[in-house]
Amino acid sequence: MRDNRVLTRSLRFWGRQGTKMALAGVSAALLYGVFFGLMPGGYGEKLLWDVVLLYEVIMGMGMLVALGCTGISALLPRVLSFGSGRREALWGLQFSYGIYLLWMLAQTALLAYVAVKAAPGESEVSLLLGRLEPAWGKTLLGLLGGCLILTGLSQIGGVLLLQTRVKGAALFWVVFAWVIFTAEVILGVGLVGFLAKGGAVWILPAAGAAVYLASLILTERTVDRCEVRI
Amino acid sequence: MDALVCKGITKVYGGREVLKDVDLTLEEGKIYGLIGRNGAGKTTLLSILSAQNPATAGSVTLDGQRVWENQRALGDICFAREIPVAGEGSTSLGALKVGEYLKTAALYYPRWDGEMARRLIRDFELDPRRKLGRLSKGMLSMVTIVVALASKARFTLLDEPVAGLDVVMREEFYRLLLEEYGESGRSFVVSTHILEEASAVFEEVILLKEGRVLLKENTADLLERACRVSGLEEKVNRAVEGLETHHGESAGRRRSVTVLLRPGERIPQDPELSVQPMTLQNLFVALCGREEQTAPPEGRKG
Repeated sequence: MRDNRVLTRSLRFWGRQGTKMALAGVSAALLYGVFFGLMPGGYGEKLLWDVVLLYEVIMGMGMLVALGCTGISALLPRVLSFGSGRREALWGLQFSYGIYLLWMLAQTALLAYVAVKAAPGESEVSLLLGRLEPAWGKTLLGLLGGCLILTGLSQIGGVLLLQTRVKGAALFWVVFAWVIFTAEVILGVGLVGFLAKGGAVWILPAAGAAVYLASLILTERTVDRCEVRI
Repeated sequence: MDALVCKGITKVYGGREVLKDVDLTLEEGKIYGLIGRNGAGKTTLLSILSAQNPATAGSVTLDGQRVWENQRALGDICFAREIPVAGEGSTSLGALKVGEYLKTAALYYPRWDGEMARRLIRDFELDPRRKLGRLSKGMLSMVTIVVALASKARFTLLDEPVAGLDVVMREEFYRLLLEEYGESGRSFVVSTHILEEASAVFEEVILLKEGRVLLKENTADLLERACRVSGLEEKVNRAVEGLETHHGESAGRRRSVTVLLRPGERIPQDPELSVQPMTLQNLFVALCGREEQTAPPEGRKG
């Protein structure tokens, strides 16, 4: 009976947080995407739904990072202050990541479908899907790895935010942004290009699993003994 | 009897012992006043009792079961404290609406009384759609009180619940507390610095001093055995010889001292001695204030 209650409230609270974040992400993507997509010359020759999808992916990554940080530094303390168990809160947060990623996957798929349907043959999304199509399994594995890396990093950022407030978290994200910038811009290692090659298919999921597992252990150790400060 | 018990609780922060081997038993169906000076360890003790802060040593049990990570026990304890919405140490609660905050509380307290929460929100004239960050300190205290009362937790710990409330609202809070106590028989532990208004509400008082429990006693019994003796220094010294004295003050040839009488003890009658009863606030100052104050002789003041 009591276990059912714990399960129900976890589903309701943590599921709601994941859903809220996903809806906030897609709303912002639609708002900015439509605004900039319709603005003359804003995105050159890009089609409206391509722009919306681009924003959705960017916002989606941003919201995942935000969920990791606020989840640990704000949501966990809130439920713990109301008498939630520590393990319950830890796994509840992981559940909210899962819900969020499912929503994001569904939203991305829907927007890609709309983009392709709105301008068959012309949409950049069609071209991208065409490039990825021969290796769909590898692509999805790569995406999963990318999501795990981002989730793990945001969770580590959240722990730093909880423990050191702004300083540690700020330093962490500066280093993170620098690594991404170096990899993407200076070295030219694009994620899509990497996925399309399909050569190193296990690298991203393996790296993702390692980063996520490390972040989970770090979070578990922190939450298990931390003083709750709302 | 059902009880929240802590044994040998010690808490160390960065090498500083905030709580020192605290033993305490809180019985069901009582209102306890937790008093002590700033930094005495009140908030730390309440947070440890509610498993929101791990103790460095010692254990907390409810009905004989450990409280830490015990879902059954955690549902029976509510720790209501000030909601920080700005400044160092605050999280992003400021962006949260009052209604959302209470919805989360409702999910986590198994005996949450939604009807009572709605009634209190109405009585306190709080807007559930208003963000916590836009509330005054007094209004935030009201939200804390709503959570504490509507949680219906068997043991409800309130840390400075009247901070920021005006005198009318403080009276209202104590009225609601007594009403709920009368109806439900729940236990409340209230920490406060405003003792004059609260002393009539506390059935028992727990006095923390420098991380130790200095006394835990029925409030009426404590005040009955406390008195302030004043008069000529030699007469006072003779009258209180062998008694438990605190906070002596001398001014010229006159001296006054607080006495805590033990069973069977009394102050000898002397028309030149003044023996006054004490309020909880005066007694608190006597027990926690600096010992032996000597006023400068007349003419050398200022």
